[in-house]
Amino acid sequence: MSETLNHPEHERLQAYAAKELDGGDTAVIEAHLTTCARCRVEVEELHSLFVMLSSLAYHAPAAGFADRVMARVQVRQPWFARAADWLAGLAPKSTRAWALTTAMVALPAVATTGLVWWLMSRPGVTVQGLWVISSEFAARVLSGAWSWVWSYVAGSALASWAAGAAEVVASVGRGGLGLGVVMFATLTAASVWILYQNLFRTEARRTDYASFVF
Amino acid sequence: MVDYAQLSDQDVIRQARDGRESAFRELIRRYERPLFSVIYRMIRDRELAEDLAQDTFIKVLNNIDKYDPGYKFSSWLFKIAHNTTVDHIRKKTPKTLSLDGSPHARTQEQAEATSFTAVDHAETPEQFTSSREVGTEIEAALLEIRPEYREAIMLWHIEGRPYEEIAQIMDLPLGTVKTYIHRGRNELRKRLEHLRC
Ligand SMILES: [Zn+2]
Repeated sequence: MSETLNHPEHERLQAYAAKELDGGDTAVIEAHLTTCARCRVEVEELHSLFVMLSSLAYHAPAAGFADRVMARVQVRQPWFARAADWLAGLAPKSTRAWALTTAMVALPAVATTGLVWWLMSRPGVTVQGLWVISSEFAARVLSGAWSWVWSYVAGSALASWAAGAAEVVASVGRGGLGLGVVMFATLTAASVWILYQNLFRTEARRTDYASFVF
Repeated sequence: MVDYAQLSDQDVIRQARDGRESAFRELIRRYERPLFSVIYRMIRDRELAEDLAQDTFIKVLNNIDKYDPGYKFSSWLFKIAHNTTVDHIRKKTPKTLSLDGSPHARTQEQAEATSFTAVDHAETPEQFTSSREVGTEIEAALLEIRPEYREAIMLWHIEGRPYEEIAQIMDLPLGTVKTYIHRGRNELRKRLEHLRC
């Protein structure tokens, strides 16, 4: 078979070397290569060219390139990312900080529960009585500079809503109220227990305890 | 601290859009070498290549919220690099010179002589390769072919970009890209013929 006849075009030999041809075209080229030394050399040269090109090393810019770029890049934080960062910044960072946060939540709850419990256990104390006393007390406390605010609130829907809520509590009776108090006390006890685990049993503490608090 | 190594470009870009500086730096870390290499091999002037690579990153990162996720990030980056480099050459060189060579050039040789590499302080292929520890024949040969061929060859062979992407980056018809790569390989193959014994 004559070598000069029907050499595939350079482009097709390149496509063959780059494995871009389908099975049929590949077979045609390969059949030609078995008989043609000239095309065989060209394909070999292409293969070694491909290898050389793909093994070319990258050049690196001078040190400090990223710093020079960043000096002229404006990093803009959208409001939601800023808000998320701000909230993340508020979260306690250490177990001790978590414990203090827990204490701030738990202690007022303990105090309030104790006070309510003590008051309810007094003879003759009713929910309505408590409401009247506390609202009178609040009215007196706020009557100074804030008296106008209070008179506005007391005359509004908020006051009647609060009175309605008090009536509901009263109609539920001591049993219902007691149940509420027990639930509240249970939650408080749980906080105190976590507080205890964090503050005093530091060796045995688990780092994920704190996440149960909120 | 986010482990960026595990994240895709798209995920890193999302972090960058949330204003995380570390995400911007990760994008630079990923692409500074490929990008700088393409520009450096195009204009053969280290300092200038660094300025242009820097300008490219600054443009891209300052416009990260305009980035279209339907487009490959690296492709966008290389396109901006291409435009930045071409713009610079058009501005810097006399009006008679252009990326494609002087319009007054009568012959292929004249066009080549007046095209693209007409940059102040351009290193000769010998300087370019001798300034590297391992000066390779292929590096020198690559610098001797027409810049359009060179860019297309680099994007295909070194960056592994498909023809369609190269066409987008260089803003050329697909057929032209294929022709450039084909001719570029032919020239390189001829220039490296002497390496064969
Ligand atoms: Zn042949």
